[in-house]
Amino acid sequence: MEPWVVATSLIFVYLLATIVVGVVANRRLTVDMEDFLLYGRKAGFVVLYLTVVATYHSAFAFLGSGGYFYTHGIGFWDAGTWTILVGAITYVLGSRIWALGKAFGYITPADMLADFYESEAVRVLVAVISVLFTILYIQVQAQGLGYILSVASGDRIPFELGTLILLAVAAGYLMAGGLRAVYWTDVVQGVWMYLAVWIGALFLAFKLFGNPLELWRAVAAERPDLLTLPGPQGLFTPGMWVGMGIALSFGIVFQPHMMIRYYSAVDGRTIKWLGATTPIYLMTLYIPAALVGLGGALVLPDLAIPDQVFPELLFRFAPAWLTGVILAGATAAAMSTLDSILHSNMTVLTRDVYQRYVAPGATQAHYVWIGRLIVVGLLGVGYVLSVKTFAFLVTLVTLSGSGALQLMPAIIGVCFPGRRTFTRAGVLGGMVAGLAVLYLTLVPAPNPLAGVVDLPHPLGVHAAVWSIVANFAVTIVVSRLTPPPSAETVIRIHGEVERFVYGGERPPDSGARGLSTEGTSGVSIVDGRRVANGGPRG
Amino acid sequence: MNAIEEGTGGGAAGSESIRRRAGESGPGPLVDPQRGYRSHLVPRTREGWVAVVLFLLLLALAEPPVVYAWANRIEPWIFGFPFLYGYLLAVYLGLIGVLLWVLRRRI
Repeated sequence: MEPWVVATSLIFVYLLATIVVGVVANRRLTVDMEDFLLYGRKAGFVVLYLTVVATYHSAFAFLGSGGYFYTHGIGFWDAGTWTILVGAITYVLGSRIWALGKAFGYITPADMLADFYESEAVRVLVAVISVLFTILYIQVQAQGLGYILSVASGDRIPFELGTLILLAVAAGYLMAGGLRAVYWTDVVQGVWMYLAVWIGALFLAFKLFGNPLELWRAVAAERPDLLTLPGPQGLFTPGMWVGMGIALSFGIVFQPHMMIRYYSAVDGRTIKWLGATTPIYLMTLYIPAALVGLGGALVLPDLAIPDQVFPELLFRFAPAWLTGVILAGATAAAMSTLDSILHSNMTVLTRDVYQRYVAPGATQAHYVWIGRLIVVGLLGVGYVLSVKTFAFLVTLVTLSGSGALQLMPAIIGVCFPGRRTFTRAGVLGGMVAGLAVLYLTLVPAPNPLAGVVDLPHPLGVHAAVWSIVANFAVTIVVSRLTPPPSAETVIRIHGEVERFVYGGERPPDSGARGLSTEGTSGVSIVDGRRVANGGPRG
Repeated sequence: MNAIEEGTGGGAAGSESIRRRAGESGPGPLVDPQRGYRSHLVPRTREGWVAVVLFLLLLALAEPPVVYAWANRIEPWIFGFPFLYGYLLAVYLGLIGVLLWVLRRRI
């Protein structure tokens, strides 16, 4: 049998499996927002673990990470730092976010921030950041998928058709089963992609070098520049090392598809288990990536596109069935991130835009159907972005890595009580300042700083560092000068955090501000009115 | 500005009601109506301090200047890996160990 037939067939077998999972998830679906958007807040440890790790590692884990090791050498091993930071952030911050979501019925990041800072302007800005800087990941993952399918089929399935097929499958099972379908497919994807990367890398290391340790010896002998900092092209300066650690830990955790996972957990202890154990998966996935990238730099030194080092090595040296299994793993990696971003964008647009401003007070079933229609719209947008080239997209993709990072001061202000609180004006000013500095330090043109300082990353310091420093500075200064949230809100929300972390009784009159989802604290706010849970909502 | 200081009598009474009950163990009152909440950025227990200091110390070992000065070399080889790679792997495993210890101790 032709190798391309084997490889392509295995990918379609994998796609069929995900469709079956979506159908089964649909049968378990309760037609309300909390189930469709948040898995009913019942995600247990195994499901949540695999969906978090599968969502975090995208097509980049198969393609981009190998390319980084290939081009820039050992500096990319900094990835261990940021993956472990993700775990620590999850343990400390994620558990608090869960507790507040449970108490007050939050569904989106904007729910929590708008409630504490008592501001619809905060809701709108957070929703814009949440959607704008992640919608580009739909494009990135979709392009990765189209590439994988065209490579696997030997270009018999064109890039555009491959992209459309895989986008449609992901959108289909999401519409059918909501977050439950996303999570269940992530369970399959999380296991498959981890095994695929390890098996593929070890196979190549043994076949091409004798064993992985000999691979390291060969790299040290032939390309020692790949094993020290700052790397052959000088990318990994100290400022980049620190900045990537910040951008790819906090910046990823604050993206809506990650924060929604915190809300969906069955309890706070599950989040803490997640925080302590996900780094094991996340960090160790880069061990085989290093073998692929560094070994590929010796075996295929003249690759035009370094990101293709893994599939190129597989096609030249691995049997067709193994190549197919591994490319299906790459497909799994891309789809696990793609479906999560489709879901989070659907959630934000349904909850923060449609329910809030277009049709408040509609039925749960109505919002579920609107969510499904939004997914169709996102499918179309994602496809167009994937197959067309727009100049502004390059800028947006560049910004998206650190865009969500700008939510950091606002989120810390909610989740870490203290003597002083940040204010509405402070966090709004900080986010705007952070985004402006991010643009100025990252985008080469058009940029008033072009020619004045080296761009991107002036003085060798990652733009994420410049932007978050500016953000915090403005947030702190403006907060000192402007009125804080009301005492009632501070006691209600910070009191809940205090109770969750250190114990004690619930603050009095702890009114939840969920929109049509009930918090456990006894009161929800529906259409701007406080309603006791179980009371009339018409 | 301190939102708790601005609170009305109801706010102050509300903050009073979330003080720990008499005899309940814990590191002091949860909130002082005059000064707001005790900071959550500072650990309140000995184990909390140990966890934070240990994690930050290990993290510092994986950051500049250590990584760029002392650890930035190929030799000596550590268990068959070049020094920088093997050193960082050991630090990363240490950091994961701290997280698991924190989980086990329910900190």
